[in-house]
Amino acid sequence: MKDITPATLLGLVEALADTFEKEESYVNELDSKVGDGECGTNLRKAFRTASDRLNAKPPGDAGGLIEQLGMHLITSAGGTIGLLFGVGIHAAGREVAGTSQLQAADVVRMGDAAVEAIKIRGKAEVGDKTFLDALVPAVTAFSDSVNNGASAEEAFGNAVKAARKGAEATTGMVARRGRASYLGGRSLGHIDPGARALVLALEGVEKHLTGT
Amino acid sequence: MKKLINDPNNVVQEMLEGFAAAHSGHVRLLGDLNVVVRRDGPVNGKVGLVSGGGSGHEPAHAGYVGAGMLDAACAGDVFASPSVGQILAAIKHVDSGSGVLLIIKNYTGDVLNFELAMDLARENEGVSVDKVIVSDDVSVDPSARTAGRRGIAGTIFIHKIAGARAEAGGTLHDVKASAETALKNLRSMGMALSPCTVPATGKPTFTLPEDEMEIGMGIHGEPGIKRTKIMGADQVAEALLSNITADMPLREGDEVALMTNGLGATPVMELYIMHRAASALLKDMGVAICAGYVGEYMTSLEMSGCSLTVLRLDDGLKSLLFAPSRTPAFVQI
Repeated sequence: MKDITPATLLGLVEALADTFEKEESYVNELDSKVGDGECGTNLRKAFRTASDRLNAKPPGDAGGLIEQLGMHLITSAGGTIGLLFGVGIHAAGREVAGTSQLQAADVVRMGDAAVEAIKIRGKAEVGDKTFLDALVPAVTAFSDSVNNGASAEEAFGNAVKAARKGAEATTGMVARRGRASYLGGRSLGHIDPGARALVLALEGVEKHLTGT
Repeated sequence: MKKLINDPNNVVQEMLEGFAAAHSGHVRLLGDLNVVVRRDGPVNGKVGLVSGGGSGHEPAHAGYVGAGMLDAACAGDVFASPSVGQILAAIKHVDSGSGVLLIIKNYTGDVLNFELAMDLARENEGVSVDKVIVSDDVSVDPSARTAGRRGIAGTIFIHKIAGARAEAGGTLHDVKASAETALKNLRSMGMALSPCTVPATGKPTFTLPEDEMEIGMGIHGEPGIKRTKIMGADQVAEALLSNITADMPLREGDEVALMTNGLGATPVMELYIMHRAASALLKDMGVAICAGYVGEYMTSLEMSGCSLTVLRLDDGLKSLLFAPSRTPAFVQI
């Protein structure tokens, strides 16, 4: 796994913007089953704008850069999903502000901080059929793996697997938050687009940081 | 998709430029932020009122910017909330030191973005900001199993009531209190005959067989409470109004304002036919209609259908409703 330095992170943000550009119509298509079909567009615009703004004035430490990325997403995304990604990323960055090179233990704290902030802001819990249903298992898997002595790379791989499984499980859930909640039982049988988008993001991070 | 547009990516910006050109006596644009503000604002000493939401609901909300109503309206992408950055810029612009009230329709994205902007304005800018959340749509089960009741056409009455109180010199606390009194007395319900198409996706938001209608449809095509075979206007009015009065019982002698709102593709002729039916039903109940509004106030692109809104009035609300306003889409002399 690469060292998580500001330079690595700038490249990563650009890679994520590319990912959401490529996956825009796929995520929109998933969203059209339960929402109004703009989830992918929202993420594409949010990450591209945030990447451009970050590159224009990049903070010098990794924590500050992540915090700033979160704030750019929060202020520019509009809609729902891009903003909630921002809320999580901002809280994660704030947790490690001033840290120039992140260790596995830092990432554990970042994950917890992100989950906490998203729950509060989004007024959602696990089981509501939101992207928390992918994020929470991912954070738990990462932290468990690190505690069991796994390498950062193995731990992240486990996190991505857990996120995939968590996202798949939203297919069997009835939405209780967001626009999908108006569907009631009719949201059953469809994956949550936000949870799927989180998996795409984590896969992007894994690919960028480990080269797999 | 058959639409009178240029590039689907530019519809909001181009619409707002046209809007500002048409109504330059009332409004102007705040930079390139897709925020519409009062031409004569910020008004010194007055509480600032900011609303907004996804585009596609014109004339909401920019049409209600002007004397006696809003100070700023933030326009998001079609059917998507405006960003925190836009809302924060609007708050900073309209604040003249007396504070700012946000009028938010109850949708997950709108609430998230407006509340975050409110928190940032309080913490980082020292602006006194408060909010009201409009959830007038009785077709949604308000239990914890959903994101709650949606804000629809009744929002225009909140703009009017809060706007009049602010114009009359009310404090932020007063303006919020008047808006909350109005919210307690406000109910709406809509229905749709045919869907709309968001320019960026080019696909209808839902499908409805030729001989069916949906009662309780939301303004983005969210599901309502039931699909039925086509009914006549009188029956539709009864279906909508009975849900409204089941939630907010009206008594003989009550006074109300009644709005029949078109969703974008319903002929004004049909709106009047609906208004006729709703008026007759209210009169049968012994309810007095002090003010009637028929037209397009909160649309859903080219969806066909309408909504009914009832605002129950007391003397305070009545005087605020009839106070003057001069905005592109709502003039009260």
